[in-house]
Amino acid sequence: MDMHHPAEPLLRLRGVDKVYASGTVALRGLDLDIGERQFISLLGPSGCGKSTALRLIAGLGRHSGGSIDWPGRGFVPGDLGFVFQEPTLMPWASVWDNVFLPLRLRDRPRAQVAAEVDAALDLVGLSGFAKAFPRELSGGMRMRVSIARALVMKPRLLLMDEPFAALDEITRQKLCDDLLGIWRKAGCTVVFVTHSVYESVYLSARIVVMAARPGRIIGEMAVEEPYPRDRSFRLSPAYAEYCRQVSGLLDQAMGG
Amino acid sequence: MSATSADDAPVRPGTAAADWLLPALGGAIFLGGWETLVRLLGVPKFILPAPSLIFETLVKDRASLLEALGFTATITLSAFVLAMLSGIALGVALTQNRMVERTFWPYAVMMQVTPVIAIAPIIVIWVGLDRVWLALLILAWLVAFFPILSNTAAGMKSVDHGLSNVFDLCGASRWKRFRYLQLPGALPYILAGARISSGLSVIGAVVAEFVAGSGSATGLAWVIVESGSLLNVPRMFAALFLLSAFGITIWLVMSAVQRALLRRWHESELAREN
Repeated sequence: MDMHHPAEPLLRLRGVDKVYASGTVALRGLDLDIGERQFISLLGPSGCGKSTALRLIAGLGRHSGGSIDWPGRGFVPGDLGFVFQEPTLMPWASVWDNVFLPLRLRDRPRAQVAAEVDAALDLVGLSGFAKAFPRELSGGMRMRVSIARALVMKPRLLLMDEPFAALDEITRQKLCDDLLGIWRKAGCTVVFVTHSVYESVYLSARIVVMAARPGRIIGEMAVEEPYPRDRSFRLSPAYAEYCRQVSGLLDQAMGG
Repeated sequence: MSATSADDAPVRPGTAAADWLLPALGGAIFLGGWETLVRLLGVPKFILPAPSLIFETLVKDRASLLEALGFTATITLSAFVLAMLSGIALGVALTQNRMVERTFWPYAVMMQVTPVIAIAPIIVIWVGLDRVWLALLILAWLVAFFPILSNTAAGMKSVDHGLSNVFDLCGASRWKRFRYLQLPGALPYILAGARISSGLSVIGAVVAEFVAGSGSATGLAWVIVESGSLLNVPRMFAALFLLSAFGITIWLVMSAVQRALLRRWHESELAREN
């Protein structure tokens, strides 16, 4: 997997501002290039605009200034998948129908795309739960369904907004391992918003640290540990050193 | 990886049987006490008839009573179906456009708070004395309509914000948002409204018949009025019993529909299993 910045990024943010009607400046002058097949984490304290940046990239809000471009072949509907902090599943629909939703909303016939839905479920390890309803699953499994739904369109960019924040530590670690496997198989770019230094170091090739008031980037760091990563990385001195360095950046972000 | 299932949820043994047995036992004790007291104290039948006499009247007058029940049931069920169709349609329409909602909502509330007794005479005049059944239908519909309207509107507005974002991301059209998000999300609200309305439509039909009924409207409420004026109290009680039985039946059917549709996913129905 190519961990270097390609000549033409997948996504380019230049001087992106977000000012709410109340006058609150959520983002100020955000510059960011996101390369193909990268795993990037946006890390920072509450209110630093990480989630806002993600929502602007997804088109779930309008930026007040600057530009967000898809250089290269441009943006095509379906290029983007989004995983929210909550699984946001339809409780009245089966797991299969939840994953089918993005395809259904784009008028893709059920019979034609059944293999794609099955493949997405297989990717997240939920093949045996297609007929289950969300409430019949554990929190971690619901999040996997949410990831499968985001991946079913085979997006080039997967945006994840603190997807594991509501889960217990054991489930989080398991899902982090699984997410790296899913990312490698899916071959997409991931932008992962998190509060957790440990999560960001374990998952990312690049960590972008943001500060609040106004939301801005104050630094970034490359994690030059090769993939695939496993639990041995978590226990290594290198991991501890990366965590120390990122914590230092986070201290700066919080004015420490 | 493990999954829990609604089917695996522990159910206390005997709970379902107790739901039926306890009320039946309570009813039997009540009726037994009633029968004994009436016999012991020699209460006249035009004051309080014994349950056995009410049952006897029920059997003896079954033809006319069942005919009256058929009339009341037809008005009630027609009003309920009309209330469902119009309440859901208007509830959906009101929530599609803020201006439409602001314009019509006060009038919907006005319909709800105006007592049906107060408007019955004018409705009878409008539809004509030869079509009292239509007046009854309109009055029963007025009573049953509002809970469905308000619950549908509340349900349509209670869409999960995160799920709504998913639909935004997929560029869902207004119709698809309605079909796959708002309508299924509003279903528990609509069914709760329907359950309330099913009971209200019985009350609406009976009250309307009391107020607007005449010899041409021969439902159970009219049987009660007529029997009362003849001091045929056992027949009044028999009609009352049929009304209660009919109301309970509608309630049970609506509860069963709600349970069948929400059983696998909605908290209101899951609670009964845990």
